[in-house]
Amino acid sequence: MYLQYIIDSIGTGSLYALMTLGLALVFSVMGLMNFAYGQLVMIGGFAMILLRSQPWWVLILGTVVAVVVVSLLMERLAFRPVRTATAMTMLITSFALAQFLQQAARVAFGANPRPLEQFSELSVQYVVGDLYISRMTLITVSTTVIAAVALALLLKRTNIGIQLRASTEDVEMSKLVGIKSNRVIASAFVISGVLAAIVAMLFFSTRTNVSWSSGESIVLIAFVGAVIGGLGSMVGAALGGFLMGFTYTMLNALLPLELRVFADAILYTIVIVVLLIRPAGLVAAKGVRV
Amino acid sequence: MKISKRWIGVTAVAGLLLAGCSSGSSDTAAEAPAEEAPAAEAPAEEAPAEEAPAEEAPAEGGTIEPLNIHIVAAKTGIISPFDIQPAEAFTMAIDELNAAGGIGGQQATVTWTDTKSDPALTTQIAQEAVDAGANIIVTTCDFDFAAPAATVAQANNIPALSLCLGDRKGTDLVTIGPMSLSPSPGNAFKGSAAAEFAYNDKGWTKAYVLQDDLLEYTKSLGAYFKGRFTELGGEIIGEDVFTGNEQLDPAANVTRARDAAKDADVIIIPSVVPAATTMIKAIRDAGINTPIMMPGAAVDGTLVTGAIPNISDFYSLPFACMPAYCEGDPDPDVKVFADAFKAKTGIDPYLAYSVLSYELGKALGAAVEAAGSTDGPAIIKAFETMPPTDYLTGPIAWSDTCHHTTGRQQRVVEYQDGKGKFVTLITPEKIGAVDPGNPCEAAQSTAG
Amino acid sequence: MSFLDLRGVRIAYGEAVAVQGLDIHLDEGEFVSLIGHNGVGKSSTVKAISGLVKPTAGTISFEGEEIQGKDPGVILRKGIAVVPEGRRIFTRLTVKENLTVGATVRKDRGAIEASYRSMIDRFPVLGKYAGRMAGLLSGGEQQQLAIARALMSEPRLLLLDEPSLGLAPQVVDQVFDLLGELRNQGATIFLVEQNAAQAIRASDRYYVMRTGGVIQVEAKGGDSADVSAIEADYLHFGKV
Repeated sequence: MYLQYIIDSIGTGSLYALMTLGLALVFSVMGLMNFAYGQLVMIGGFAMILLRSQPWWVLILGTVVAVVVVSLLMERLAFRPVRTATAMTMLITSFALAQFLQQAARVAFGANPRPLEQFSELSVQYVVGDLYISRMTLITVSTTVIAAVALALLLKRTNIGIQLRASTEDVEMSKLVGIKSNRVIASAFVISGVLAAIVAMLFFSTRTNVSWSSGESIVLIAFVGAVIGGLGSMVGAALGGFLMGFTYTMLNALLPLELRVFADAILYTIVIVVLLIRPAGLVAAKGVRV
Repeated sequence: MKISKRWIGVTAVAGLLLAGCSSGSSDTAAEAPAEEAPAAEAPAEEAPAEEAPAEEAPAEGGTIEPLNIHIVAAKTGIISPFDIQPAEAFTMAIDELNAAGGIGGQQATVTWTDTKSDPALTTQIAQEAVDAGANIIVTTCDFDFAAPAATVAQANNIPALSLCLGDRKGTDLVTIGPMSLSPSPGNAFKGSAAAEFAYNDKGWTKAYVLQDDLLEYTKSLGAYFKGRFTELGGEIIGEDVFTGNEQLDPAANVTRARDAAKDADVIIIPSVVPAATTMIKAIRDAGINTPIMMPGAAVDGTLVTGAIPNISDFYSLPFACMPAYCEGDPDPDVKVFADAFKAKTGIDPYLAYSVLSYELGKALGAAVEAAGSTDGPAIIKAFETMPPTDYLTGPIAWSDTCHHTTGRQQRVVEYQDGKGKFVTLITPEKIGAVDPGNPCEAAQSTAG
Repeated sequence: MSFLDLRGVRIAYGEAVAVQGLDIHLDEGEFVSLIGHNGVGKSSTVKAISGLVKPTAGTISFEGEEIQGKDPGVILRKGIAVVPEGRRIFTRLTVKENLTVGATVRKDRGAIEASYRSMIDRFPVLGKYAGRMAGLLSGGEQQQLAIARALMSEPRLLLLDEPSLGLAPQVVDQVFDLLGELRNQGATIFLVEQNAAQAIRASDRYYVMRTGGVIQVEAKGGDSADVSAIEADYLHFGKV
């Protein structure tokens, strides 16, 4: 039973880790906490509804393309004009943008949740001894691992990755070595968009409905995950997101009935305690020596 | 954080309600007058026997002023999904009455001002409605958002008719006052009806309750199911709880249910979409094929069949079995209504809440004509004293102790292979003895 | 036509004027220093040349083309590389990545790799720690890295802002030795320094900058006999 809970929790943790990475990436590159990130996932969900009757590869590609395009437009139209403004201005811009996208989705898709026909191919359970492992859990965990490794390789091994990381640390210096910040930031939004699309596909494959408000809880999870992980550190973000999801499901699993409804409250209490002990997060951006 | 997540859930519910309510408006122009006739007559007959104000009614009958109905509900903001389509359904009913000659011979007007889901603004708009001469104020589907407008209406002796709220605080004659009223039968009624169907009709004696604690709505449904089910002799063999917001992770609940619910005859999930469908899907994906029942109307319709195309052994208790997803409602008016709704809005009614707001509009016309007056207390008195009347889905009535509807014929719908099928009508014999302060308990119990 | 030519340059941040009426010129192959105390506008001058700050008046020409107000990337592509004050290496990148990023403006991967090889020949310590986070290097090593990073763009003019700041004396010597070497190999260097004595000794010519933006031009440094006199002069200015 406990082992089963751990498997359940790893599934949730993986999904949360992915959610957190997309938000943390843009934050680390341009110091922007993009609260409209959750709306990208929401848009991914609606793209899935529109593409539901298409072949699977069209659905996947189309969802990724739709989300990436919105992510790029977001950067171009909303964030580029305020890039040199204060962090507060950017933050408010992101809130306004989140609000705008929500309302736009409401106009386009209606105020009701829209059902997403679930994928029967994914509703498969494997039984290993006493343990049940769903195909969706396997897909979620492996996708997260692949996405995290791919992101790490991209950041480590490619020029754009190195430029991204350089910009993350010192924007002005990165300009002095000739890095084109527009290009770097746009690529961060592309990567963030791809991650948001993957999150959308994993998330809505088990959630049955998409609504204009679907993005809110996701961005909240990602935000808290990024903060406890340690802002500016991608490893920290993944770890923070994973621990959020893992702890949440473990709390749901292990708390007695009377306390179970307080799982959210207890989770956020743990978050506060963690931040009191380690204000910079679990993984403070490392290698920083002044 | 918690609050905001709850709101997400609330919004989701809202979506349902709105979808449901909106399906309730237009078709029945032909039979509406026929239905109203007895309603209009009834108070006239009772009037002499009853009391002074009623006796005055005929005198005022010729002087019914045009109804100036103000809908104080949200078109935008968090609560708007509760309001938009219900308000449309209500408006359709009034339009039909106007087309058939008006209310008491007078054309009623409907004015809808957007509250933007802001309670402070709601109070202000309600006050402006009063200043503009409103003699009816229609409030939102949700108690918390309806209360500011209902309070203003109460203070001015204007009826505060909610589109479909189901919380007893909105109708208990005390919290707001006697001017507040709703076409919903309330959660006590639905939870009790579900328990009676489970125990009496299906012979289920062991229930596992997987409670969504997101809303008062979901919690009271669960409480009344349990109350009535155990009164009947049923056993709750296990309970679990989750919070049906959009961050819901059903994994732990499913893992627990695998063992704890394996001897259950039925799993009861008092919840709302999207959380409810997410949970149901997770349970079915885990290979648990025990029947599942939602003791209410909020997990129903195409939101369920659209998301889980092969859903089976699922039961819900809506107010009507809408043709878009459900076959066999015994009342042919339901189909007529659904067709008219689609003709007007272009959308099939995909939930059943709409009948409530539609019936409210029709009942309002009847009540005004019965009162022979647009005086607020007289209209409320007429609502309380009108005999059970079939406005669309079966006879309903209000009373001076219960401002929810009594006598409503709740439908039981069974889903197999993604299709809903009407099973039976049910009006509970007895409301579960859960809340001693529930003024509807006696009024809605038909037995004993 | 001078290689680099600043004419009447004025730099102001709102009301505060940092530099006023600055005239400086450099010829190709020259090693020129700009000395002066903290806060006299030296760093603003470097920022104006490298494109981080736009002068409020005057012109900056590089090979006859006005570059004032252009983007740092554009100026770098024209051939002016900067070793900024405080070194500002990317601490969370490895040493090798720092060098790679220094070659961002170049396209030819093979040539970049060759530059990298020659860079670690010149700075063996950078080769030794190639895979290490740059933040873990010592101050002197970081300074070498900052210079090497600038050289990776194959600049035609190397701009250095206070390279000796915060370094131990013998490390400072190494830095100046390196600059001398570069000059001997034909590099054009514009050095901004507080460390007047060593800057003057190393350079072909130097300028002294005072508060208020007045410039003292001195032709020809490098003569040790002159240095003490100039130092006195310089200190005198500093005390005004």
